[in-house]
Amino acid sequence: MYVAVKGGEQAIASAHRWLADRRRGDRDRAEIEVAQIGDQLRLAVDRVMSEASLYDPELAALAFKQASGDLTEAVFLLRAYRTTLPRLAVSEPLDTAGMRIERRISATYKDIPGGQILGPTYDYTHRLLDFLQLAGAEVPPAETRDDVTDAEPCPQILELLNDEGLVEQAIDDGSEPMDITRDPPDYPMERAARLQMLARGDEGYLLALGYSTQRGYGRNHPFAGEIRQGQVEVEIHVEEWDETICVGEIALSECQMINQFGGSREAAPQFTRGYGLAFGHNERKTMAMALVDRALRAEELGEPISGPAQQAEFVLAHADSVDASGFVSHLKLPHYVDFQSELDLLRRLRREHAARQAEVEGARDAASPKPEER
Amino acid sequence: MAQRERENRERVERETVSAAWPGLADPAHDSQRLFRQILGAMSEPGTLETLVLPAPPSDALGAALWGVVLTLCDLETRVWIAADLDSPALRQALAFHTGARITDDPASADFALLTHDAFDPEMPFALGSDTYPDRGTTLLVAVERLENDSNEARGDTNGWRLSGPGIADSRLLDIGDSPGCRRLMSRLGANRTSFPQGLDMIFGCGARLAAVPRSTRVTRADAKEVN
Amino acid sequence: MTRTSRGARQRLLALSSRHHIEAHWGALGRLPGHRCLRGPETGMAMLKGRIGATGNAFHLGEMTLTRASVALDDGTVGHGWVRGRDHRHAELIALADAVAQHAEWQEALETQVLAPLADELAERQRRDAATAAATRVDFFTLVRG
Repeated sequence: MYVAVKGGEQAIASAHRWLADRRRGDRDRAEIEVAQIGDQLRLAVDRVMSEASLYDPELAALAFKQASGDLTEAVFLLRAYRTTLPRLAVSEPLDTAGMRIERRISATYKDIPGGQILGPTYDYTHRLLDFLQLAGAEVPPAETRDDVTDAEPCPQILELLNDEGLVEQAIDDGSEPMDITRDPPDYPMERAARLQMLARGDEGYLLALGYSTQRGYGRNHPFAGEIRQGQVEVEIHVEEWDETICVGEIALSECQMINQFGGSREAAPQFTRGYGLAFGHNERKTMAMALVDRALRAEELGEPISGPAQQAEFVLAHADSVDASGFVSHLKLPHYVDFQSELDLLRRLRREHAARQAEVEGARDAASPKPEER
Repeated sequence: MAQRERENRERVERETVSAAWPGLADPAHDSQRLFRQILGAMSEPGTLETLVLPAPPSDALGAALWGVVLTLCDLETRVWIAADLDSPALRQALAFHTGARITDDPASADFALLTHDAFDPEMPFALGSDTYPDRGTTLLVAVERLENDSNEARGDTNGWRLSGPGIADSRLLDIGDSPGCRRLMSRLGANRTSFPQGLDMIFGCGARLAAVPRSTRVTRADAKEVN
Repeated sequence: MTRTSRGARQRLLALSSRHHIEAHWGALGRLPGHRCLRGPETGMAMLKGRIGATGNAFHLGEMTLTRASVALDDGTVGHGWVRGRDHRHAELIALADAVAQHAEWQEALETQVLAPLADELAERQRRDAATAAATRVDFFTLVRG
């Protein structure tokens, strides 16, 4: 029997009000502006956009503010908003080779055309808390180097290896990728669809899985062939235009991982590759994504499947933080009737158990001689 | 230079068309309102709905079917257009306002635009699958007559009697009695043999429309089963 | 007078901020009236990447996108598309597209709006490149013995 439970409206309204009050914090301090979040907490904003699968820095910053900094909640908010918008266009594939570079490094070659450009990285910081920021110290502007008039082109490093045939090539065969937002995922899944799911996957989850491959659970011996971040122009094709048109640019992070070589009697040994691409500055995410992408190619490359990161259905079905947090959170919903029936069942089982015990003990008592009769 | 002039001329022609075919004045709310009406027509088969929106320049298509197209079509729908309704102007207007893709293959069409005369039961429209019956083609058919009132009053029996889900007892629908109309209605009658696969149809006549989904039983008003 | 192609104009205006466009827009003086044929409306574009940067396409995720189509009082039509949700930005691009088809506005549009915007865009991109260049590594080889 279902019993409808109603009530709590007043409690919920008051809880929302307290939430808003907590979010606002001390009224003697200025309220954080959404634009400040976009400027000063840009990496949080980038992570929200990436996992929400919607590029809109202002809305991601708003979601972050509204969620009081809870990234998973912010991702949920932005993902929910996304469902209210019609799709007006599909872009041409983004040309990351034409990126306006902010950062570009390679761990496989020291001297590369275009050079190693560190960009605004945390890599060489000492991870010491900076108490000057607590004291509100002035921050000098970024340095510039004006002797570089025309930025040297930065070709994709893996293309250099391609010349010798040392690395597998990524060639476009023109096939149309499936779209997991339109067609429900089905396993086994093509690589394009896997990458779409990984691109919106939770960073912490991908990081743990990528790490697991490095620790031996599906090892594939990775090198960071190239990591680049910067601005890429978005081009779309629209009916009323004769050519593709540029509608703006977006920040992207890309990681090309070079992995252990395979080979067979027919094919000469070659490096294999894993790929990561994400909105904004999301370097760690793209590295983890590339590791997991490569791990998920185990079957295609004829490798034994020994680690969790190589199991496509396991990896992909649990990668989305909106799915995951939704299903975990639903445990908070009232289960009063469910639980009552479990209680009834448990009590009955215990009664039956007690009765059986009593029966067994009774039989034992009857079988054993009473002490006073000895 | 000649190339550029030609492109310019094409652009002007195209855009005159875009300007002549009206979109929804208030896309969010108008499409919600029209969607509610189309939903009503589908869920109560045979009832007439009058759609209020600016009429397109094509009398053959009519305002109601243009409203259905504007409401239901988007970037991800494929539309097939029968030769007798097809025109560069319609194609351009469809692309401009909805982004829908035109297809030459009836089997891949989500929506098909045609007149009653053009209907041929052999056209290989998609019927959906048992797993995804929703992937069938919805036919948007321009007709010259669309009435509920009984023709029996006038002594003829041109109408069709609809019954089934969404119809309390039965409902009379008259879409005219041309050979095409008869082919359409007998095709709808045949839906029962392939259910849940089948064709759904929306009939438009000027600003009015009525729908007959695949779940509806169709018989001649004189009670002979259509087969 | 250089004549910016239609595609280049759309790109320049989409890469410029609305704020910058409006700062120069006034120089056009009084423009003909216009009505909106479609939009301005905000939706999304699905963005594609390529596996390994050069391979098969895959769907990366979506971005907000706004479009507008306007008709001037004389019937000239213009279209504008821009990343984000700024309706006015899309409308300005569409207006520029329409106005550019009229000989009497072309020169003002080129010299008063597009040329300064192109300079600003080039300057911004130059500054970005110079900032990135400052973080470029110069390797020293340590000679031993």
